[in-house]
This record gives sequence, C-alpha cells and structure tokens, in this order.
Amino acid sequence: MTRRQEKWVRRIGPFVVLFIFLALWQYLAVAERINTFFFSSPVDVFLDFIDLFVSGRIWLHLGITLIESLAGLLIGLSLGVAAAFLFGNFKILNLLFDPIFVAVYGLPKLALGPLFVIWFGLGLKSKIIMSTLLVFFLVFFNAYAGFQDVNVELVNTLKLMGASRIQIVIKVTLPSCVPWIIASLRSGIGASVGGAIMGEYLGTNKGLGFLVQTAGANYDITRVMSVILVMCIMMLILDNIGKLIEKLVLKWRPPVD
Amino acid sequence: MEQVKLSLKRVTHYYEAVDGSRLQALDQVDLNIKNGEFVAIVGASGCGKTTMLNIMSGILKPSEGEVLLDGHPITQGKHRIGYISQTETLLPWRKVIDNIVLGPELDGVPKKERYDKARQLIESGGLAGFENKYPFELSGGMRKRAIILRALAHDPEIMFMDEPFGPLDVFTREALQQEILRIWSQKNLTIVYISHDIAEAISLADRIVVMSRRPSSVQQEIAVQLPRPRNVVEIRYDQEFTRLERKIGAMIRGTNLEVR
Repeated sequence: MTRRQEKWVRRIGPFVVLFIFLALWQYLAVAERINTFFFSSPVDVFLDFIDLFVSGRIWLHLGITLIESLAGLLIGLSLGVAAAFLFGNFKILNLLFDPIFVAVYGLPKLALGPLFVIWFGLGLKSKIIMSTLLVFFLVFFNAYAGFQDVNVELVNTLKLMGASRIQIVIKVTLPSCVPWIIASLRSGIGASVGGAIMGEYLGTNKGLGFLVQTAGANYDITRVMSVILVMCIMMLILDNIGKLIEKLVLKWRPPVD
Repeated sequence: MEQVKLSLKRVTHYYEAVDGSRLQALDQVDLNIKNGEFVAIVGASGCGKTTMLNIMSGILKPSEGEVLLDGHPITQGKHRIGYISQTETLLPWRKVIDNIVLGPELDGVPKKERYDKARQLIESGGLAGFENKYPFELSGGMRKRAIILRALAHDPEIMFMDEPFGPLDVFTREALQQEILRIWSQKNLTIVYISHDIAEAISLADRIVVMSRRPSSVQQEIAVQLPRPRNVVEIRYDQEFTRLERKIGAMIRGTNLEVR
C-alpha cells in the first residue's frame, strides 16, 4: 500500500466498516431475522438518540455525569501527583505505603461500591469518590515513574548555578514530570468517566449510568443503546480535548512520526 | 592578572569500588589558576581529569585537601559557576531565551532586566532569530551556543569546560572555539578547560596542565607563548605550535597505559 492509499483507508475505512455493520444489522432487524425486542435496530436507536436531545431529557443526566467525572479527574490528578511527589522525596512513606497501594490498586474498585454508598450516600459524593479513586492510582504510578526519571544532569546544572532545593523542584523536577502526568491524563479521562458511571450503577436517580440502568431494568434495549451512543460520543470528544491539551503542553518535544 | 582565582591544595581523591576496594584517582594535586587565565588540562584517558573538574567546581568533595575560590573554600550553591560539559543541559521545555535567563532568574533578578540582558547576549552570540525556538529545534552547535550564553548571563566567577565541543563536527567545533576565545578576552573570564585534544588545548590556553596517569597529579605545567588574538585554525601552522604539540603528545603517550 502506498502512503497515499494508506491515508485514505485510514480516513474512510472505519466509516465503511461501521456502515456495513449497521446496514447488515438494520437489514436483519427489518427482515425479522433477529428479535428487535432484544437487539433493537440502528434506525430505532438513532431516532431515540435524537429524541433524547430534542426533548432535552438528556442534558441533566449528561451534565451530572460530566460533573462527577470532571471532579474525579481533577481531584484524582492533584492527589496522584502530590502523593507521587511525597513518595519520591520521603523514602519512609514509600516503605510504609507501597505494599498497601499495590494491594488497593489490584483490587477491583467496584467491590468498594457498597461501602461508598453507606459512607457517602447516594448523591454526587460517592460517585466522585469512586471516580477519584480510579484516577488517583493511574496518575500516581505514572507520576511516580516520572519523578524517578528526572535527568540528573539537569539537576546538577541547576545546583552549580546555585539553585536551592525548592528551586530545583519547581524548575526541573516538576516540569520533567509533565509528560508523564499528561500521559496519565488521557487514560485518566477514561477512568474518571468509568468511575462515575460505575458509581451511578450502585444507585442514584441521575446520570447516564442511571439512564442505562433503568432502561435495562425495563427491557428498553433501544434506550440502553442510545445512551451508550451518547457515552461513546462524549468519550470521543473528551479524548480529543485531552489530545489537544497534550499537544499544547508538550509542544517543546520533538514530534514523533 | 596575577591574583590567584582558584587554588587546589594537596587534593587527593579516592573512589569506593563496587567490591569495596579503594581506587585512588587523584594524588596530592596542587594547582593555582590566576584571575583571567585560560588554563587547559590534558592527560591520558582515565587519568581523573573529570574528577578533578568536579572537585574544582564543588560538585564533588575531595577525600583530602581543599579547593579555594577567591581564598574561600568552595561550597556548592554558594558561587556562580559556569559549567559546560559535553552533554545537553538546556531545559528542553524552555525556549532558548527562557533557558538563557535561568541564572539571573534563580538569583531573583527582575524579569525585564534579565530578559533585556539575555536579548543582548543572543544578539552578540549568534543566536538572533532563535530566541523563541525550543532546544530540539536547534542544531547541536546552536544548542552549545545557547548553553554558553546561559553561563555568561549568570556572570560566572569562573568557567569550567569539560570537553565541551566533543560531540560536534570539526567545523562547528572550530567556530565555537573561536567564539570562546572572543568571549574570554572580552569578558576577562577565568576558564578551566579539559580536553583530550592537544591541538585544541594549545590553540586556546595560556597554560597547559599535563596530568600524570592514575593516581594522577600535575606532571608538568607548560606555558603557551603564542601571540593573541589567535585564530584557532591558522595558529596550527605556527612553528611553536608544532613544537608544543609534539612535546605534550610525547609526554601523554609516555603515561598512557593503553598505548604502551
């Protein structure tokens, strides 16, 4: 394949694959080869998707999930970076907490759900905490690796220039962690939304997770799918925002082709 | 000119090897460097040149002996020291000009003042038009220029250079050697320059310190009586240059274990 051809396939190919899949699905539904009660149909899902927005019913739920995710992302990111920094600077913390962190990190967070509901209620708080928890570990391990990876030559250069310890942290250590933090930002976006929706499944009366949950309970498969479509598009937009931030913040790095 | 800037007094240094044995790198090094002098240090590979430079600049504490800068023991963080090694030490996330202001920034010089100064240096240092580029957008030679300008912006009390132009191609290297000579004479700097290239050492320095093999000490100090200002390319055809090159070369070969 030439470069030119590759470019076109990359641009159009996924849409063609998706179109063939949807066309086949729609055909099977119309021809009654599949039971639409269980599998719905692309046109029904699309119409319901439009209706969610036209009627305005989606906004409250979308807004709630976004707020939970964003709060989880910001809190998890800040705590993750701060913890990584403390771990990097105080060896005692590392010795005391590292095994605990690894154990909690390996734990499926959903298992903690009932505790969060009992402690923090069915409101926003329990969702934000679930989201924060997921983001925290992701950021922590990344940022910690970043602190270990600081270029000693740059640190020595500043020492020779008479920099104080705090100046070295601000001017070398933190900036050199930024690529690592940014790398965790993009996966952190996914984790924060995941955490929020996971939290909503545990019980609430608002949010996209709640919509899916109730639609599923009512066997409204079309609604389940249209809300999932909303989630997909939301993730696509959020990920692109993440990409944009990455591009803006890391413009000092040589582009990797 | 005759005032002593930096002085090493019976400096001895041991390294602890992995197996616990001690390796002596330096043995009672005595050396005085005068204010405004350009001193080159040469020696066979592995003779402890870089160890010596690290001790002189205060990065490394010697096992015995002391280093005095302007009569005071050198302590890391207390002096403005220019240090240029062969590695890349620009902060990659800062534009050229933001790298150059670093020294004054650490000292708390007001923003406008430090940027004005940096702009002047960039203008005279051959980097005009590149002040807002990131280091990765520059050639190796230009990055080196930026590192030199960053050191100058800090008004260094003394400059240490450790084979600074090693990784560069020969023409870039010549251009930068000439540039260093220009800056040195203009700013009345004191420079200690480590090199494994005898020709480079002769064309730049007032005095060449030849180190003996490990545990190394000063084997001989040779004054370079070539006229200034010098052209680093033309000077190689001078008879005195050839004589010195042969003499120092023979001296180092005599100490180099790897060619015997």
